Amino acid sequence: MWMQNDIKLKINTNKEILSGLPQNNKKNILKYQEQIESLINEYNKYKNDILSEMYNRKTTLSDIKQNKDLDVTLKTILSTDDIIYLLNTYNTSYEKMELDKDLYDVSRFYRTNFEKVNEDLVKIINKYRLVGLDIKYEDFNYSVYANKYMTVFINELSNNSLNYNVLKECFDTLYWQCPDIFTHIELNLKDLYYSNKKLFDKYVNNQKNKVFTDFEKSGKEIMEDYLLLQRNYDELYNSDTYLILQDFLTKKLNTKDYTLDRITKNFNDFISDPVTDNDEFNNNIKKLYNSLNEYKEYLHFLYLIDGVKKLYSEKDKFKNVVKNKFTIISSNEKKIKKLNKKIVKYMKRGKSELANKFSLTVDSLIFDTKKLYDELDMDVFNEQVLNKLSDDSSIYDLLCLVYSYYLYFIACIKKNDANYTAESIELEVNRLRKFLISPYNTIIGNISIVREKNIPMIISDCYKLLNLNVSMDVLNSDNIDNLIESTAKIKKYYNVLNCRLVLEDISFICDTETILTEEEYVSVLE
Amino acid sequence: MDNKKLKELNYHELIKIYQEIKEFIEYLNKEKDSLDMGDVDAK
Repeated sequence: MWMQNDIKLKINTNKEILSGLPQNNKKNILKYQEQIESLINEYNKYKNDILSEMYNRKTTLSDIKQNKDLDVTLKTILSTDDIIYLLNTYNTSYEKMELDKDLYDVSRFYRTNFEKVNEDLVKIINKYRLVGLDIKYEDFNYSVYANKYMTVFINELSNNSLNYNVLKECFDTLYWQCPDIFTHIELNLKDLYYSNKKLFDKYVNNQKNKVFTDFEKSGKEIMEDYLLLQRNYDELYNSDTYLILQDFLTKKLNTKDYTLDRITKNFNDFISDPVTDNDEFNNNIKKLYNSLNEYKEYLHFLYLIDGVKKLYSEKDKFKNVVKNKFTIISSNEKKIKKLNKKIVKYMKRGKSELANKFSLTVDSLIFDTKKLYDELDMDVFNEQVLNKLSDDSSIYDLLCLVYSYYLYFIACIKKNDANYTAESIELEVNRLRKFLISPYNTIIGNISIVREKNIPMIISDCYKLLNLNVSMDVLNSDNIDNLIESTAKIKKYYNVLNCRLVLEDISFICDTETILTEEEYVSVLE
Repeated sequence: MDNKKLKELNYHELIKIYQEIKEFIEYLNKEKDSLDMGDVDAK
């Protein structure tokens, strides 16, 4: 500290000299001013020397690059992300190709706008064509209105871009004759899917086999590798010195929170004695952090778990429901198509009264069929509860099943949250996906859907064995976030402790960064 | 300023010295601003 004292002494001396200078006349005041300016120059030079030293030290210390393996690992994870849906054993080509979601969007045309519905139709028709189903306007035989609109639509599509003015003009004419025109198109597309299901199944199957060939692995092996990759990525990410430093520089973290004194308060949430083995304690805290997160997500998705458990308890009711409903739908659709042929015939002959009479019958049949298709969305899920779940199934299996059926899933979301929005639905869908592909789940895969388990007790007992106190009483939705935050902080503390910079270096880099920015310091070397 | 001595300082000392100097420069600037130049002309 000798230099600091030197500077202090020098400053005090200068202050004393200044205070001794007379300011009783113009000459003396000017002299006093000259003296001040001279001192300002002198001390600005000192300040620059110090800033230069700070800059040099900061540059050397923070000359750290992000681990290159992070990007490579992330790319591999993302490429697996794109194909993981093909490995799903719970759903069919309809869900895998997201036709359930696309057709649901079309069914809600009144909630979106004209362009969006037409974009959705383009997306669906492109998917149909992808599997080899060459959609033509003749395929739209659900109603004369659906046929008229889709004739214009497919003609527009053949020009490679949709002219919305042309489509709007056609729609405006037809809408007043048939306000349900998009419902007719939606059902027509569903009918086309079911009539050509084999083509879709074959396409999805080929895609899946291509994945197995490309990866040279089975589905199970691909999933195992995927989970391992995620673990590796997290490990690399959390221990990366560059990223840790960025967290402090961007003020996401504060160095003051990661001193041993401060972190001891978090330690005390879980242990009563001082830590003797840091590595062991850190590993156990990481495990606890994962268990707490898993339990939090379990609690969050209880509305799904309870709902499916109830369906499972009455699963025998669902036998043959889908089959029977399809029989009625098919019969209705046959009648609709037959009547439509008659309508066209009568229209051509100018017998509009007869055509209108049959049109009303078609409308009524389509209305009933729409209701049946809507019920079918839930019935298909119920049938999967019957076929895919057994007493040996786990909570993980149950949630995978829900995730596989978008329409059932969003029906549950809407029932559970009266204030749902399109964004909140998307967030919930993504949250469940993230939960299911987490490599850290150890609880939900081991809990049967038919046996109740006391999860707080399982967690509490497990960590007691690892010398961590997690009382059963604190494991509830009110406390869980605080516990997660505390374990996350301890995890971060060890990441900081084990990184290539010591906390003092990080503090210095952050403080210096602030000072250099405030001073608008520019190095002479730059 | 002696650059050799500067290099020997630890981080805390470096930042503290910077702060001492910065505060003194601020003091000097205030002193300079408080000089009544109108008064100087009158005298």
